[in-house]
Amino acid sequence: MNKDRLTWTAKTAIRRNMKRKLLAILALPLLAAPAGCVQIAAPDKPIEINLNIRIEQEVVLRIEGAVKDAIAENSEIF
Amino acid sequence: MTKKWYNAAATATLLTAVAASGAMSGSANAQSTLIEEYRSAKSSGLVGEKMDGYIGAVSAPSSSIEALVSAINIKRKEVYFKVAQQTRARPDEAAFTGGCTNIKNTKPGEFYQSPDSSWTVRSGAAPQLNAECPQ
Repeated sequence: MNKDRLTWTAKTAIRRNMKRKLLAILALPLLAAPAGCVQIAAPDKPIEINLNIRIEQEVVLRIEGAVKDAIAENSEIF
Repeated sequence: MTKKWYNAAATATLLTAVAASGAMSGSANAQSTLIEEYRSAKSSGLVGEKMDGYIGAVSAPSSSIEALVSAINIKRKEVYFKVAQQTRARPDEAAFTGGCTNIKNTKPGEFYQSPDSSWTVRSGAAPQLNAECPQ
């Protein structure tokens, strides 16, 4: 009976061991990642975003037909 | 007793119907009056087409012109928002595009806002359009 019962110290030791194993399994992909992944480095220059007017012109050209139709359909207020 | 009830119900229905039709013709009249006022204000140069797709008062407006301008612009806004939704554009983009069309559609003598933001009388020639308008 007493043999079957583990002491508190033994239980803690087993738990600790299991925790270590679990951590090792979880950490494995992290260690393996750098070799298999495409790495992206931050650019050394600031990223310039230049989309103020050109896009507006593109949109105007794209929606011109639909806007014209809507205006013609509601000609009383235009 | 039953007959009385029936009569009362019939009268009530009739009254409701009359009231409803009255209200409907009232709003229809208000609508046509608004359109007439807008037409005359436009041809007499009280209001003009702005670059943003809405109308504006050309000079310091009376309160009635001010009300007219906002009433027309609210209706226009609805049209622009619908087009924007259909074309997946922004409402202000739809309104701006409308402004290009509206200025092109002005008749000689009517006012429009030129690219320098000043009110200009439309001549027989092509209007001065914003650089972003389709030419």
